[in-house]
Amino acid sequence: MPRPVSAGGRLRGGVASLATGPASYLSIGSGGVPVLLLHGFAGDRLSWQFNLSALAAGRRAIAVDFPGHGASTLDVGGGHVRDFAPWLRDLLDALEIPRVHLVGHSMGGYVGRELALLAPERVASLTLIASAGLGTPFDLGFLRHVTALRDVADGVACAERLFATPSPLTPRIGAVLHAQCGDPQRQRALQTIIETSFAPHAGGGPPVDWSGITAPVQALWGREDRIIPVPEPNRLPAGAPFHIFDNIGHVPHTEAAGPVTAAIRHFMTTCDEAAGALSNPV
Amino acid sequence: MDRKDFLLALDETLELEPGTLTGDETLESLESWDSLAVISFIALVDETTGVVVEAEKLSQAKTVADLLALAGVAVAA
Repeated sequence: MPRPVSAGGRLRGGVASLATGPASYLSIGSGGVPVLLLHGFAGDRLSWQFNLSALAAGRRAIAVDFPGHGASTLDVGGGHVRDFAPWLRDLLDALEIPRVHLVGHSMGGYVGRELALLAPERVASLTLIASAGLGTPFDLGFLRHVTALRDVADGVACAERLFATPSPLTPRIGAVLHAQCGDPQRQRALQTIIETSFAPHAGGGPPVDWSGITAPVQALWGREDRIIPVPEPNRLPAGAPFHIFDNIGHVPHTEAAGPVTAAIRHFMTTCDEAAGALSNPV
Repeated sequence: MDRKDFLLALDETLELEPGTLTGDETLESLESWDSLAVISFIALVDETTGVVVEAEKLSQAKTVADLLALAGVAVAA
């Protein structure tokens, strides 16, 4: 049985009942414009273990499990990742949150961008971390491998590929990745997502049309990312802050948690101040 | 918060009986030291000391004494 979530009464786990099934999340802090954290493929809400508390300074921070991931519904429908955007909007409705800062890693970045297109009034800012969906090539073989691991050692080898340098976290991440493969329903959900949403685009495609995105955007990337290599700046909105971290791989929010968290906090504060200045002109 | 109080708070965070942790334990030996515990630990330190633990150092921590040091609590008994 899972351990209940508690930490001085601030950290809490929750489950929202959406039309497609449960949406599981962690929440900490209160007030401000909340920040909603969107994990990458085969990750979960705990992917933000090093960031969640620090991002809750002066605001509520929420980390959600996407469908097919963590403790949320395993129903991923046809496997279209873009369908996660209206699912997120439903979650925000259920939690009665009118507007959020979005922070999305890899697949979560793509979903965040889709939500910013779908419901611009709900998105105060968008931070993309090693984001999918920019039309650049990515390692499809790695994603397929992650959902078909032979043993824990195979999982650890995959985990090592996420980092630029050896990390003490890889044994645990590898074990979690392997455990996911032992659940046939979860494995099918993840593989459906890959073949529907990722496989057709692995070689890259045209640049994103950012004209429909009104929220401020920033991008954070590890220079040694082997899953989604650093894109050319012209793949991002003109003028968007683009921070590249040296000696960091595909999970900069874990491998360089301090500076990445600081960059997110700074961006959110800047966007809040700009929005406040617009609503309260001198 | 002194060492004893912090260990008691850690006991509660990890859902252990009060007085279980002494500081000598390895994190590997604690079944309840997991990702959720990491979030809870960072929140606990933030709440009690106002310090945001450096995640990069936390990921290197091997013992409860290492956690105490990260929290700025005197490690000596």
